[in-house]
Amino acid sequence: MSTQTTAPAAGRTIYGIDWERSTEDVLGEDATALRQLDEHAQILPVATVGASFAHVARRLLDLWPMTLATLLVVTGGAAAAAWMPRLIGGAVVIVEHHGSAADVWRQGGMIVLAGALQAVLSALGWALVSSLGQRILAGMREEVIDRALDLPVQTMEITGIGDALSRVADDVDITARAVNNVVPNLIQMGFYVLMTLIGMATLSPWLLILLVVVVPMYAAAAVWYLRRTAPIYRRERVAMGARAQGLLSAIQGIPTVHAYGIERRETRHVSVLSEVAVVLGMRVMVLVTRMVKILAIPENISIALVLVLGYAMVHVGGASIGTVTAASLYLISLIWPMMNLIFSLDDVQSAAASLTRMVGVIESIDPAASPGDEIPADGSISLRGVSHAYGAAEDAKGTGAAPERIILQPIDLEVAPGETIALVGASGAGKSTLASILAGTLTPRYGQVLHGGADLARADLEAVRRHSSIVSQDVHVFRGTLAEDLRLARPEASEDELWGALERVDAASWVRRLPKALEIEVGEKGERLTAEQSQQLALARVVLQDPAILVLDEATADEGSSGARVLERAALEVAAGRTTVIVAHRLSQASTADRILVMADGRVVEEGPHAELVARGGVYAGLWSAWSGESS
Amino acid sequence: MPDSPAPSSPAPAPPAAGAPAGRPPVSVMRSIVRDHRRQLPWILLGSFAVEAIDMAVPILMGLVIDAGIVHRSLSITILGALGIVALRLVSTFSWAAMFRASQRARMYQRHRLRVAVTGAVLDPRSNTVDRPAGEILSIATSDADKASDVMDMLPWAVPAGAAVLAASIWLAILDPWLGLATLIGIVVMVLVVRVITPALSARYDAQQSKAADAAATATDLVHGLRVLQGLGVQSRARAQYRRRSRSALDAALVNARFSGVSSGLTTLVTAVMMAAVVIIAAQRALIGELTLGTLIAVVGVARSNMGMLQGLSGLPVWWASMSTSARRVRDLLADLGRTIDDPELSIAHLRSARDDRGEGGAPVGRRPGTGGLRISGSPGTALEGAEIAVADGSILAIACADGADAEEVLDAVRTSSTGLARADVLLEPHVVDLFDGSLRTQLATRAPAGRALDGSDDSWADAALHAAGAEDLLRILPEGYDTRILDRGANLSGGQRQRIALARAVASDAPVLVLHDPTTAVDAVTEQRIAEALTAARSEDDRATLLITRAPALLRQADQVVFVAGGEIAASGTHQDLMEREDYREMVRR
Repeated sequence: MSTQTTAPAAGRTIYGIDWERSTEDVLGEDATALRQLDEHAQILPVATVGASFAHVARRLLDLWPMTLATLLVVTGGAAAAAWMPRLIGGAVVIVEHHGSAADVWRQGGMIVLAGALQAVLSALGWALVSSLGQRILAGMREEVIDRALDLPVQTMEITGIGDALSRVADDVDITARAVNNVVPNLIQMGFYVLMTLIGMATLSPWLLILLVVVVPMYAAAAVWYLRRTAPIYRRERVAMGARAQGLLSAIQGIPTVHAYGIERRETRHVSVLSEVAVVLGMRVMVLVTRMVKILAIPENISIALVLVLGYAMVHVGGASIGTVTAASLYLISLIWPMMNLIFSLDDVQSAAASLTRMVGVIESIDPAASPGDEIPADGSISLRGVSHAYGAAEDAKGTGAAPERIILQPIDLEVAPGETIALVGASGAGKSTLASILAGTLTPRYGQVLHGGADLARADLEAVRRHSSIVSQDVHVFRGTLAEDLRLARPEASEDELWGALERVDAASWVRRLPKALEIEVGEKGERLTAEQSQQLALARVVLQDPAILVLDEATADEGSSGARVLERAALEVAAGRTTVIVAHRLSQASTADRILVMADGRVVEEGPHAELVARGGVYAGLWSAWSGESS
Repeated sequence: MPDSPAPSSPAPAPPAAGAPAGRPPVSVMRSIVRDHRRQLPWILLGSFAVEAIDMAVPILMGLVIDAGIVHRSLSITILGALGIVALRLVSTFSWAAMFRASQRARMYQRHRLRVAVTGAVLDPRSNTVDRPAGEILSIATSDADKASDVMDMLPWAVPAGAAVLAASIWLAILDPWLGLATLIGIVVMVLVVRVITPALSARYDAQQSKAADAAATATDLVHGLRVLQGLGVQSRARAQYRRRSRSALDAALVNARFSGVSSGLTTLVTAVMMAAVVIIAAQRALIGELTLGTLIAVVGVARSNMGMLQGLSGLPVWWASMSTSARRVRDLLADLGRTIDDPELSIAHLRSARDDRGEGGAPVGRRPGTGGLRISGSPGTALEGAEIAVADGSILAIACADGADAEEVLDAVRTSSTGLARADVLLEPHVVDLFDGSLRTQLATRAPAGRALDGSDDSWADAALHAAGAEDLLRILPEGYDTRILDRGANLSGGQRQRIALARAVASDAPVLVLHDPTTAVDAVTEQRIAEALTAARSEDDRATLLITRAPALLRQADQVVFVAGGEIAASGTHQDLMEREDYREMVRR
């Protein structure tokens, strides 16, 4: 096929995949995939490995009684396990010295006893390690969500929510899996290896020679392996993330994919990312085989040494055959746990990577705190010398930074309690910025915002959050039952209050028709609600939350062919009695407001009630006549 | 070349659910094994050798201790040690070769299953399935991975099982009581596993579902972050997550206890069995029926045997999760009306296949006009019996007073456009979907060949943005056309997304362009600008444009407006004419 860019080189290509190709080659002409894999900059902060372990250590110290108990139990279990080869060696000694049958039975009893001890302690140890890990993880995931919920919407707009999502879900999941299986296993194995080494060293000083030769080799092999695999794993993770995202967005966008006939392009996009991931995965496997070959050196040396040293121990040192048996059993029972330890290194590595990402969020993002204790007195809003800009501030020292881009020119504005104002203007005129500043969700770069006389820079956080709400075009129905969704706004609301709120936004009738009414599952996996119904729910939440200030940022806008009127009525109903700011798409909404602000290029160009602006014959009057079609 | 019908979200005639006509489902697991039927014998042969040597090492060590150390022969000790090392080297190298081959097969299968599922899901000729996107994603990723683990399991489980069997037979030959003890050990181990495993996996499933619930809540809250912050209820959302997280923790703690008990029980069985072997073998050695070396070998083999058995005891659970995953992949493909062995879903095919742009594979230049679009309404719908022609060079609008009528009109447009080549019609969906890529890539999604994608000549993109009233984006976006637009336009506002989608549609320069409510998310000022620029851009002699809208700004620009009300065509004419009608005026003023 002529489109095949690189002819696969013979020899390396198996199953049609060139397993040694560089990731860039695999991605080929897929510029999007290249860019996705090239995304070096983590968007949210990542902690160092050291800081992450320090964080976990702090949490372990907080739970110190349990930590101590775990340490003791695990050490005891490992000691019991390390006792076993000695007891078996003891049986050989009995045979060697022609002991009695009763001695053999006694030795057998000891083995059962040691086994029972080991069983009990390892059961307890496993449970303790796992629960300790789970407790720490639960604390961490809750803190991650705490921080994520306070992330400024503006950050999210720039970065997208992908990174935040992977922190709160994927990283937590990967760590939890590790805590379930790998970590208890690893810790028990680790202690077992340690105890076995101690057991060997105390068995005979001759065996110390063996340990001195072999242990550093194992350590060196582990370091060799980790150094090489860590960067591969990092890339693989990025490729998997991009792959999942590509697939998800193609599935969610199937109507568009089919309309534009890009199903093959999207399949190829997922396919190249998938190929990158498996090629990288295979690279790790090749490293595993190499490491096993390297490990064959210390293993074989120790087997040969134990026999030769055993000869010396017996015939030079006067030790018993039983001692040599114990030593060789130690050795045989060590090879497998060592392998096990090393094979679980990748799970540990990936869990450690997730840990650094979680700790990064917890330690680098400060939890939202109240800047002061002022409480809003009424529904009035004042802006004093407020302006806003993106990019570097004028006083910023860095010369290479992007210049400041003003998006809202300095403005003073007083909104009386209960007043309704409408913002009108073209896209990019600054309507949404002004609306977010009025709602208090965006802190302007310059100037003061007061809600009911309280300066937002010195106000009580929860009081301010309760005081004003903004409903935008982005609708979201939370998973759970419909009642749960509504109770987000007021947890203690009674069923009657919920119905009352639904009644006010004209949603009660369709909710009643749903199979389980308020108790129906909604959200991602539940009943799919239309955009209009979801927006009605959003308005019902506002009724329950009952804020003094309500900002409707194009809340009724994206309503195709139906329901615009229903929503508009609901919005008016909800707005009654509150200070309301409407970012209006349709001039019919603006026309009923007490005051209209016409915006262009970040400033207010006309201001006044509908009739006055129409009579004035300015910008608004022109818009109105074009829209209403009364004269053209 | 089969010209596939224009796709539609509600399939025109969906086949009976769960009963895809034609091909029976193909077992994914069997397909995987069949794919590697030539490599598998070699892989298995290699791993048989590996396991045999591993089991033989303790025996050989016992013999060397006996012949070398007990009988005081340094040369036998050294030669024996070297022999064992040589054997182990053979084992290590054959393991490495076997492991590489089996892992490569496993990786390849992961890739193959994933690409096949992706290709099948996105192919418009597949049946539409009503499954959440998240579920399909997890089938294409985690289930594809797990099902492919069969290539990881087979080369290890079969020889390891054989080695355990061989070792037990050796013990039984040495002494029937040893054989019996080993047999009892195996039976008890299997019983313990059979009893514990189901209880354990039930607990584990419970824990997983609680954890999944907490994770789903977390992602849900982040998705709804804007709404939460808008409402100012972060602290309540936090409390809600904490509840879910705590209940996941409780389940995890129960699971931890059970896992501990299971690990303890297997340890206990191993110890008792070791004690039995030691007692039996030592008694025999005491009366001189076994040499000291054989005693050591027996003990060593019994220990390795129990270790392997413990490893093998995890097999049923592993197998269960593997075959469940394979079944899930198979069922999804079956629902889509495809099978895993479909040559069109092979990697080789999907890697080289290009999207259908009319002529062969690669995109072609400007497509000539098609003579317009004829829409004929199907019986029982709003357009019943009607024939609406969207002629080349014209802009026609259909205004529906009722949303349900608009859907019927859209269905009629979809069915009517099947007569045209897929590359000649573009029906831009109302719900906007943008895919990760730069602004330029977005606009070029279906642009004719010859459009510069390297930024050397962006005039075509300028024209498209202008037609969509979106020139302001170039000022707002930090890197202009090179700015990365995230998936689903996550870094844009609703209005910006909608205008990019519109610009993308204009840039396709499709001979027939159908737009459904293209300006609902933009303000009145911008809408007016779009109406003028859009109609100017589409006013070419061989281009036909259909607008399904109620926006007066757009309606005014159309050459003709068809007004649908009360389930039928109520009138048609220019916007100005129709404004005479009370019901029409009522509709456009909203």
